[in-house]
Amino acid sequence: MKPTEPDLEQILRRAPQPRPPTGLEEKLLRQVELPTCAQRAAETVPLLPPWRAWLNSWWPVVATACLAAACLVLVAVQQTELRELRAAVSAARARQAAGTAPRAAEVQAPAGASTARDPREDLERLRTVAKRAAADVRDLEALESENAKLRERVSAGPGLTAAEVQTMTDARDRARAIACINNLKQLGLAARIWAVDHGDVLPPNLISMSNEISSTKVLICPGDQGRQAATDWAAFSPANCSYEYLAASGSDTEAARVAFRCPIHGHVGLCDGSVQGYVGQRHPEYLVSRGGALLFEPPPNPSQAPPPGAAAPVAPTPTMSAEIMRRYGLQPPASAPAQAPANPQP
Amino acid sequence: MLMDPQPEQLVLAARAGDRAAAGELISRYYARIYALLRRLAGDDSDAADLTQRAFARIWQALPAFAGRATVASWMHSIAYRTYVDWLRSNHRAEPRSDEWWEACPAPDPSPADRAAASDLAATLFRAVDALEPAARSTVHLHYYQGLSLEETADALGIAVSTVKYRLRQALEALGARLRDHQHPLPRLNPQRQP
Repeated sequence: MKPTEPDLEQILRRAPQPRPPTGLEEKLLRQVELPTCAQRAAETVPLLPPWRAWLNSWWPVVATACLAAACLVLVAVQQTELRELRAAVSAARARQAAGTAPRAAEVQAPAGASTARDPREDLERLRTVAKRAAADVRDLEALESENAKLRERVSAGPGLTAAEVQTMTDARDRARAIACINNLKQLGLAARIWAVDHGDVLPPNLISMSNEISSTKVLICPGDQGRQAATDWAAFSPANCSYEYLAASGSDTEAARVAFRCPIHGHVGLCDGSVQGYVGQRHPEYLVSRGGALLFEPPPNPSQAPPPGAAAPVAPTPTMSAEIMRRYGLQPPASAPAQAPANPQP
Repeated sequence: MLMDPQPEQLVLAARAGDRAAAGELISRYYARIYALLRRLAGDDSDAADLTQRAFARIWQALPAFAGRATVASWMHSIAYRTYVDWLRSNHRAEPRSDEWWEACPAPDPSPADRAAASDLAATLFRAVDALEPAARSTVHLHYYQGLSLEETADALGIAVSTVKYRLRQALEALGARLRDHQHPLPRLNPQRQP
């Protein structure tokens, strides 16, 4: 007969014990060498309490059991809540089926209010609400008529004199020009930050310094009504930039070199980060093209500036091919309608 | 000293220098330690020598006993490590069976003891001695020495799950060897060289 595993275990547990030779116990007792006081003081480890020893062995089981118990409690609570919610839903359905669905006013009533109201009270309350609604309708009609009158006045004319209109227009244009200068400042700062990380070399294009530019909105001149800021850099195209970038891969040590130019206001941002306002419109002779770079070179002394009546030297227009302008985001793509940033109308 | 002190109390007393407590520990455990070493070493004199070495180590390790394991598993652990060190220091091969069970009949024969005295039990004990060392030491500690699974794991320095796995493997191997116990295993040379 083939022995089973319990049989084997029983036989193994009943295995005879080898008997120690006589005299071994006495020999062991003679050889007892207990630790000395110094050893005890240096090496003695305090005995753990029984529960601690038990916990050392069983803490994984205890932790798992606690976790399971917590999960059970959570599930029980959820089940209870679900049961209550189901009961509430079934009660609501029953009320709806019986045509006694609670009215909104009753639902919003504070707790403790009587659900069984007197019909006369309800009628009185509804009348009050109707009166209030009628008053609101009258106010609304009055407001609408007044609004219509105001619209008529606006459409007939603002009622402002030509001088006032001109003043407002000028103020708006100044605000846009200042915002444009601010944009150029930010672009110049971004280019210089990029150059600091890349050996004083300015970025090859606007996309390269996208990490340094806070928003694509700074690439749009407020006076440029024909362009819109890109939603993000992934959607950026030349049509989303109003400014000319003229210092691609240039050196930021060339302080007088023009890095950015606004074709609308004529502001120029130089490689040193500064911005000169209205240069393109008021002093185009200060812009000198030399060695493929556009430089800002005002006269060293204001007294040396040519008199207003004198013929100003013709400033050479920077020549850039359409290819380069497209590359630096200065021209919209061929598919987009040409925005002609070179001759803008602010 | 208390009338029937717990083993942990005996260890604490021995640690404090109480020779009587040390003697009580010897009286309680030396036979089991000797039996373990006798089965593992396969020789009476080697087993007696190893028992003395094991108890010398036990006295040295008394201050380090922290109670994380039971006293029995702690002593068996030291005895087993003494045996392993002895094997390594002498470059010995694993000693094989010398039919120790034939020389030490059980004091009160019971049906199970009678079965152990039979050919089946002899074949089983011989098969245990032919197991690989890890499984053999686990079987010795758990079945022969009567240690629990946790105590066996503490004595061998392994996880309880490993003890269970080794015992399962050992029982399967023993069952396979005993399928035809009409053909008993050949007697192994106790001093066989690897």
